[in-house]
Amino acid sequence: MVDQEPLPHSTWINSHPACILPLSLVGSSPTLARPLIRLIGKKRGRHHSVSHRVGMWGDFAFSLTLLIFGVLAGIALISRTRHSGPELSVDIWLMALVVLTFIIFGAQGLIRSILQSRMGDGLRFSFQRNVTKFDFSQRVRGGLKLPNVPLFDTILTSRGTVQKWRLPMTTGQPVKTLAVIIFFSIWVCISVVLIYYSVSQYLGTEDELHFSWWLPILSLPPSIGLSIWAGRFLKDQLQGRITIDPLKLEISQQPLYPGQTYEVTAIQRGLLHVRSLRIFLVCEEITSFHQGTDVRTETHEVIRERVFQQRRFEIKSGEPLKETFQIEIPADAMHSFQGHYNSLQWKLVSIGRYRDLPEIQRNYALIVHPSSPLARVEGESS
Amino acid sequence: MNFDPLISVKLNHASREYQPGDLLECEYQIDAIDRDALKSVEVATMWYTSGKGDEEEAFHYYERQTTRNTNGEVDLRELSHFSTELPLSPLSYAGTNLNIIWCVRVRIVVQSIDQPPKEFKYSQPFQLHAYQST
Repeated sequence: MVDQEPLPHSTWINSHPACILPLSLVGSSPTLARPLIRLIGKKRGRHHSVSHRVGMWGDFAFSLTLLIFGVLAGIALISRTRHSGPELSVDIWLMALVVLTFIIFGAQGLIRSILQSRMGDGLRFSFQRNVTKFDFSQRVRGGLKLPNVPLFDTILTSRGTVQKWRLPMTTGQPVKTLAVIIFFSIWVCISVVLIYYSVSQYLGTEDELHFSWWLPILSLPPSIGLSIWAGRFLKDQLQGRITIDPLKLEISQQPLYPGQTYEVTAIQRGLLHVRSLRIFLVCEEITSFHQGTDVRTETHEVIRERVFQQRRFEIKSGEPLKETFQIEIPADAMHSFQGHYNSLQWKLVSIGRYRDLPEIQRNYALIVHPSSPLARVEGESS
Repeated sequence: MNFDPLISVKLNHASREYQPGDLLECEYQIDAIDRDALKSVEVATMWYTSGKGDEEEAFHYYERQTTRNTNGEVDLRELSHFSTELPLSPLSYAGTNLNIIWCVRVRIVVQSIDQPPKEFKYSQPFQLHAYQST
């Protein structure tokens, strides 16, 4: 494959609109997922160790072999099953699972190889056009869908009490909390088992120096220590969320457009001594990339603007905090973008510091659409 | 001595700046190649990403002509034309870790006698800017 350098424009000689397909406006969609298995060829940063064609044929050969092997093994397994008794044993079920995996991986690899080949662009485009044709949800929206821009869904969004819409909260680090819960549970279980085993061994043996009881006892202190540490960490994680009502943010309009100003109301209930409450308007690029067998994600903040700050105040029971402030999306700002590996997200980030509690950070998703009269009509009608 | 074929692309906006809903008209031509050697011509209006994340691309318009589907009656080297209405999004973007680039891409497959097929492509980038009310 040869890439040419940009050439000077040719002159208009003769208008020749031959063989032009009458295509309507078609929404674009991201390309297929990266291959799961690639036998030949390895990506090193932006470079590949072999040519694209060799890698593609390697994928094709491997996937075809896998598929053929899977089909043959499947036929052999079915014939064996028919000759055996009516009851299927566990090993046959396991074999069937393995054979099915071979067939699925083989077929998936074959399809992927074809789509990556020269004729793949046309196939993808044709598929994309036909999918769009049968997309009833898009038809309902009047065919004005914004490709690769998250749509504002009124069904999934709550109405606000002060402003029109309540912003959905997207944080909370649930994976981190879940990981801490699992870690804590595992070490508590290990400690309990060790204590039970040590006590039963101690009571059941006459040989005091036998390793069967002193080895578990030696393992007890680090195990209990880890359990306590994980318990404290978990308590810190959960304390703020359990004891404090979540901060609610409401906005005057969704979706947002560059160059426009919107009113946001922050509502916080409870009985709290607030050291500081800050809210930021953030726009960030989120990119995922493969590094070897790992998938890494990097976040880069493009915009971080403080839109609200209040220090040292108290929220009393029955008198919730209700503060309204304005946010402005810069006129030259990029709209929200959602791809497979890349995205650009807008959000409001609240950082609250309370007496006797850890700092609490929460994110609230915003949707920014591109400035366009057509897009605006669609956004308002949705 | 063999030269690579020349691929020329011309867009209707000399500034190569468009807004959503604009009609992109493109003329393209292949030169410096024998008629029989040119096996196929593909043109596409597409966007792709560059930057730190894995690359993505999507086609907005695609057209492929080959010597087979034209029965050899059409000279694929001749000046050709296509037009397409540009979508509302995604707009062109130049960020730190993410760039979104729109382009018209012409890709040709060339095969001379007793030679393996060879592929050449040329991309003409353009900007899809936000709508500006006048």
